[in-house]
Amino acid sequence: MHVYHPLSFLTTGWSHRRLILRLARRKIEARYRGSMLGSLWTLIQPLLLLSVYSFVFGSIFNSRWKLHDGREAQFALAVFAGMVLFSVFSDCVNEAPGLLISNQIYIKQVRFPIEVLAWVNLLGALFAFAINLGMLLLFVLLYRGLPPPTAVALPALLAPVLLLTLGVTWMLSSAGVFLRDLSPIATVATTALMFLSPVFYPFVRIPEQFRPYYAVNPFVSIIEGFRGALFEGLWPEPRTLLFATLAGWGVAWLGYAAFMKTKRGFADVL
Amino acid sequence: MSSEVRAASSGEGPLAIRARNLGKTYHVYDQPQDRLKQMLWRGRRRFYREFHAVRGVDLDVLGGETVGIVGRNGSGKSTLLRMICGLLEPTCGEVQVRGHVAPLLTLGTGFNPDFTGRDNVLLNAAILGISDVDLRERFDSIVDFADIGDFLDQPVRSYSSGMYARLAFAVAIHANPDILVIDEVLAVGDEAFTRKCFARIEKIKAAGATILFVSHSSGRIVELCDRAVLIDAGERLLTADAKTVVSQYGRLAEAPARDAPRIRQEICEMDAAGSATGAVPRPRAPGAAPARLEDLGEFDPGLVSRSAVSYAQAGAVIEDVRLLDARGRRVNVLRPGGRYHYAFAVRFLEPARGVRFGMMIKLITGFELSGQASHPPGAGIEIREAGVTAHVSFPLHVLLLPGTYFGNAGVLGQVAGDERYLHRILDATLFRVDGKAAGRMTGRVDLSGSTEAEVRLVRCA
Repeated sequence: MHVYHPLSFLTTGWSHRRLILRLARRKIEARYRGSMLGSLWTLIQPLLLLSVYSFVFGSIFNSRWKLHDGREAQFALAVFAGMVLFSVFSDCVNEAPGLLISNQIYIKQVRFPIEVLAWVNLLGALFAFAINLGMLLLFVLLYRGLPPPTAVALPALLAPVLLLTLGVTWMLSSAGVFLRDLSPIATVATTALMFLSPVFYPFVRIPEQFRPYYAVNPFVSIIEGFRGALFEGLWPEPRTLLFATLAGWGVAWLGYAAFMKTKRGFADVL
Repeated sequence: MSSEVRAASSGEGPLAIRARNLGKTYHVYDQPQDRLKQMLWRGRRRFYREFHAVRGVDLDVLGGETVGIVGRNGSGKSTLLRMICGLLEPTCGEVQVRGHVAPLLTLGTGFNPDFTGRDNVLLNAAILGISDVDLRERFDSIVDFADIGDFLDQPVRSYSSGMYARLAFAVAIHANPDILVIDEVLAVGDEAFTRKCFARIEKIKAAGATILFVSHSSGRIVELCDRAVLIDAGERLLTADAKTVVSQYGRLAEAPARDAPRIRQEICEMDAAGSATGAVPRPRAPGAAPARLEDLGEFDPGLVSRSAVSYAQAGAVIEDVRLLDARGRRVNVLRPGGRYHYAFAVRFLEPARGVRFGMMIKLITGFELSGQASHPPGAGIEIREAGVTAHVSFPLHVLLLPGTYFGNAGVLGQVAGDERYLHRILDATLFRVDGKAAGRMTGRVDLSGSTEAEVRLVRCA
């Protein structure tokens, strides 16, 4: 039985980098092509989201977001920070089950390294992430002043999310070919996971008796670390970070191997 | 699948494609749930029907050879091609392919109508595996071939379907593969562009590439291919020179249902007899018996006029415009120098006076080459009552050189003192004159009267 090298998903991605970049660019451009405001939408969308969050959480719920040091953060900004990170994962995963079905021409008609589509999807989500993060930093600057120096650790917190996203995309996209019901399941699952992760609330608000269950959710430490680095000047805990990255790596490796093993059967089912 | 042929079985040269007992079986589920049930039961029960798309196919293709694949719709041609291209995993048997394969199964993979032709070329090329360096070299050549002018920088949505096909084909043909696999894609586009594509394919062929070619057009197969394979119901019936295969295919395809099994059997026997003499014939084997012209499938179902324009009917209807050979069989692939008939029927819906029938042979470009009328002007016949059908047949001596031609059909009558068309169909038929273009003749018609040119050398005193 062929065992895929733990780095194989990275090396194939690298060797197809030109193709991936070209496809990702096309995907991003196609999103707004033909719309009147065009690429302005990349800025308008996060702005609209942010204003809705401020209105709902600030003016209706009148919620307060307590930081560890007892100070308060703008609720909308804190939620947005969690959303920005989580949506890298959820955008890709929601698309994953239908990924191969909507791109079946690449499987049936041409010789094409179909595994690169997960990378293409990831780059598309990363582009949105970059824009959103830019907006987030801008508003942090406006409302809170210069972000703490720990903000430079943000990319390190992104790494486990990317690995996890890649792995889950590979798994769900190959399974989605055989099980068409996966698409609605994935949408429900990502939404559930978003509410079960500390996106709309800080970890400290979770009642004590539920906290052990939260330990299995990798997004807990990542999102908390992300906000800590951005708002509170806390460095992410190296051990948690290492653990999350290794877990993400494992998922990516497994997902890639599963994808490559089932790859040959795709053309039969599509 | 291995991409290397370890040992070429025939001593005659390297095999580009080697397939042994190749088969593909699909599990057909009546309902999607059955697929799930099958997974859960794991083989203890069966919820599917088996469908053998391809079974037991042996195929050897030499490097540099052009092999045609013919067969009816659903006979398994595409499945076979996909397995050879590595797009589909065989259920049984094996296929080995040497070199870079470029499947031309569809045109314009990844084309997005919102993007310009240039953008789409860049992406499509990347998908087809053309590296950036190669693309930079070939880009001008692609643009030249597509010949769509300023539209290159317009969104593809503004293209006509012909332009789209041209651009897509231009990219595909520049992938420079060792093995080119073409599946019917050339059916798109106008006849003139199709000619250009075939000229390009001939060039690729001349450069030493191996070509596998699926087409319903018998003429194309004969023109392009060294050998051909007849596939029927997933099985290979016959591998032989292209003309033989095409004529046998024509026989099988046109056969009435009750005769088909017998004819199929005969073809299989023919194959067995052929393969006893030698497994893999060399391309254009000098010893191979030339196929008799009568053997040629002279009706090409793919050759239909898509540009027919019917005038409004003024009391008559032209029907069934066709070409017939000496035996009265319907044809559309003609032999240079042959004698045929250009026939049609005219149904009169009302009485008419001064009726004349006419036809016209034209170039693809519309240039009128030669027309005939049934009667001279002013000497037309009278149709006394409605319901009469006139069967008109014009003699046609093919003095045309190889190429594709259109035919018009018309019926004229006296209406209020003027001669008017009672009905007319432009481009009513499309036919091809077959044969190798590289003879002594150039231009469009042969006025030599089949005598050879005379050359006298005289020394000046």
